Amino acid sequence: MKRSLFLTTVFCLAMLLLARPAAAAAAPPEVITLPSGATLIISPETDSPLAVIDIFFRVGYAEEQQAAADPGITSLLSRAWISQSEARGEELLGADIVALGGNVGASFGGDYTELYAVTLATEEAFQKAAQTLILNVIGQPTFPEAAVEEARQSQLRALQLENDQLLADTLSRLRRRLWDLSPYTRSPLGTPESVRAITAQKVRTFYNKYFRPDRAVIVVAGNIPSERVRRIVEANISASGWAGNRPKSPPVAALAPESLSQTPPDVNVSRRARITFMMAGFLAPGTRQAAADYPALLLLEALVGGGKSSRLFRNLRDTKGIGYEVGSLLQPGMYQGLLAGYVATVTSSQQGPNGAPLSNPSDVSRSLIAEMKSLAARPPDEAEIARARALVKGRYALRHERLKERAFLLGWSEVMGLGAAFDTTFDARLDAVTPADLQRVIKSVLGGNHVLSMTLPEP
Amino acid sequence: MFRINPTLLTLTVFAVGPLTIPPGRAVAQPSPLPAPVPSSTPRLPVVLPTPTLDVLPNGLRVIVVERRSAPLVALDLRIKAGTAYETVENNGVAHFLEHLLFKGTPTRKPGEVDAAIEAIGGEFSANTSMDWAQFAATVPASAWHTALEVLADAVQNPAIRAEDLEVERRVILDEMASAENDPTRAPFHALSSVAFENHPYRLSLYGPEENVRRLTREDVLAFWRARYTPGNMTLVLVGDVQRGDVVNKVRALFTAPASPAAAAAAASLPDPTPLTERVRARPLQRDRSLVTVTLGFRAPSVKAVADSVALDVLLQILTGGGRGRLNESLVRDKKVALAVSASYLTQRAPGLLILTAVGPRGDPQVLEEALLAEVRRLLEDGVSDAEVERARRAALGQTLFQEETFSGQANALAFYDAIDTYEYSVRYAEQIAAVTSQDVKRVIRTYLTPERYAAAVMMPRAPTPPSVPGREASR
Repeated sequence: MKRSLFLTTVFCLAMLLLARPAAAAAAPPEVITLPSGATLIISPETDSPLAVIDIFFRVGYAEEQQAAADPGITSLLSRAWISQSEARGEELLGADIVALGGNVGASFGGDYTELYAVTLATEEAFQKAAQTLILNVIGQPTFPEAAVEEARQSQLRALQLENDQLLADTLSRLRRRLWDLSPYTRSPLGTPESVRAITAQKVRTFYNKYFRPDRAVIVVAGNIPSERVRRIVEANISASGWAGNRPKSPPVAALAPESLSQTPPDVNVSRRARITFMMAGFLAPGTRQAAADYPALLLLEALVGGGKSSRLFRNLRDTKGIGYEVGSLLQPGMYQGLLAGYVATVTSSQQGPNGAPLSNPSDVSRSLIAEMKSLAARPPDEAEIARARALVKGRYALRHERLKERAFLLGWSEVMGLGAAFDTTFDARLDAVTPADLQRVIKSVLGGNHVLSMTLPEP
Repeated sequence: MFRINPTLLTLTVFAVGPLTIPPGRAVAQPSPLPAPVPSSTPRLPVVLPTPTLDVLPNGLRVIVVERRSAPLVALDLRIKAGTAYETVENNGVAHFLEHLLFKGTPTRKPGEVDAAIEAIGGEFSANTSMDWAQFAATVPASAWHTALEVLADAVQNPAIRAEDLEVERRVILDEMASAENDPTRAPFHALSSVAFENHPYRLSLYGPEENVRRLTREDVLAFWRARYTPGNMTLVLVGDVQRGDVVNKVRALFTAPASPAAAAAAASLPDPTPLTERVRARPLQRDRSLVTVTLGFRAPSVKAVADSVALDVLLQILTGGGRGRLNESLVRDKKVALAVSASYLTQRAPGLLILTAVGPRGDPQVLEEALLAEVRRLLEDGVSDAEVERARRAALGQTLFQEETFSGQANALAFYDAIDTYEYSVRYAEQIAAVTSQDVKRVIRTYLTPERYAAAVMMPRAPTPPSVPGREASR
């Protein structure tokens, strides 16, 4: 490694420290539809020494079912993506990425797949990043057999590791029971069998069908003039031939949300451990179908189990001493989301410390569900709502400390159907939620049936 | 750095690119600070916001970094009150106290401490390690006064009510039950128990279950009185603040008198006995489908700065960026492991360089031998200049990534000040840039000794659980 490269990289990374980590004063992003059909979002940050190019596709593991593709193909594609292109072999592409500072990666969720690079906010560096990501990785990926095989092995290892995790396993079982036909019922990583069945050709076919410009949202954040951003992005799309003669991707399906007509049987698994892990899940409105309700949904999650003043934390852990891990999670989905409360605690019919009886799983699970549902019966008062509002705002502000995260949130909001402006108007939207709005969302979510997933100690 | 946090639930996004790993970095140099890095060393074109230090008359150290790039302030209070300050008899009390501090004060009822901080958009996090206890939050800049008032009240005037003690006793027992099955925490404790014979570092964070059941309000208060004194505290604020305002506010809030006895106790910690042979913890049998093998080699303390920094570079060679030698060998080539890691926590006294391999059900000896083979390869073949250069870049990148955020910088400054001085954090990047391949080879020869290490194994219980865990049934 040449010293100059070392210093360039150090400089690039050091500049991270000086980047503006603020969300509050962010200028509204510019949203442009390019001739290729791709959406370009430009977020000018004139005092940032860095630039981020973050490319989203409106396709995630939920699309696999629509495409009749092998479960896990999105994950495998993401792992094999940055390997080589028509013009750049493995070594050259690797060198390109090192020259960018190495901060290049991919991720995926139920409704999107993401590819990103962080670089210096100079036109030269940005041009290089756009060329690497758009011209080569997006426009001309080859998914060679060796890269797909390496990605497969990596994914199989990830599956084995995931199966060994109590939380991931409990949540996975809850999701399978909560949804029936929905694509969200699938495991994001697929199964060992499905992963083994994925060939390099299947990856290429899936990619060519769904990773088209009309499904792309390209976010550029940093101190690069908007006009230059647009010109560089368009030039690289054009040079790649990516937008060429191939047909558009199929339209993003509008899947109908499912409903639980009754509370299904609990999903219980026994393990030879002392701890019981339980999770109660409710269906939540999707971000596309009910974008206006998403801020209220965030407040609801904070009221249920966000922070140490939430109902679950106060009434289960602080008051009754039940559980070290007590809280809630919200997994937003474009079509439908999941709101869950969880507790990890020692349960038994035997006596506990000081001769006091330990809680049994039924009692604890009843308490967990009752506390969640209590928000419908005992609506939160003004102070409780104010606390939740402040917490959600604070957490969201913290997510804006890094330029990369700011770019992510713009792109994520756009592909999830909330619109890029959601990110820059977040506080105002949260402030606009009225107690009546909140109560309506509480009733629609917690008034429904639930699924209980428990990992119990063996008798 | 090594933290124990409640599980975070972030399963919607599956990152497959570079992962963000909290740095297990170590740093430090003995006081006074070493001479400037030689001029032949690459100078860093970095102008970092400079911390300032004010020491109050009662001994409290106040470090401020004025950063105005965001309307936020990160607060980090680090207290020399970790597990290493306990005895066998009160082992677990530091962690117990950490649980109780936010339960209330004479003027704040249970729940009101957390409610006060959450009402301004922040959240307190609390951690206990061997050398310190940490209380931290990031809040809007307009509300740092409030956050500081709440924090000062909580740590200086804890009510420690008897009824709260009983509730938290149960919570801690739950936490211990969770940790029993944790493939990181359980082997770490097993490893420490055999690697630090007759040394405070052998004590477990939670203490034995009988201690947790037995500790009284008076035990907890005694520890609080002995350790939570201003001279044992470092308070760091990073963000949109002014040093003068902060110092004045801290002076008004932290009014306890100095305690020379407590400060003296903080200074004395013997070195652990060197490892002279292979020592093994009793194998842990847990309800998991995978095998975890953990090897611990004696590692330098914060005082041995050159070795400590070189070890950080070595960590990158072993596992940096999800690749590294261990990954290439055990995971990709030999295919005996599913995941590997290498970590080293800088501490006041010599600690451990820990190598871990997680593999499918099978003979743990295979994983141990594979790890040792890589240790021997390091000893026999050394490392190349190119490898060291890549590793230096990665170590530096990891550090700068962490300190990009206000809370990251506050964490680093407070961490080092609790075990030595915050200035080591300031000099860290220069020290890393100065590490040579000779330095790395030296620490390999000094610390990685295949004949002298501690080992801990966590393996599945018999009979074998199914590969999809447990028996699934509906009721």
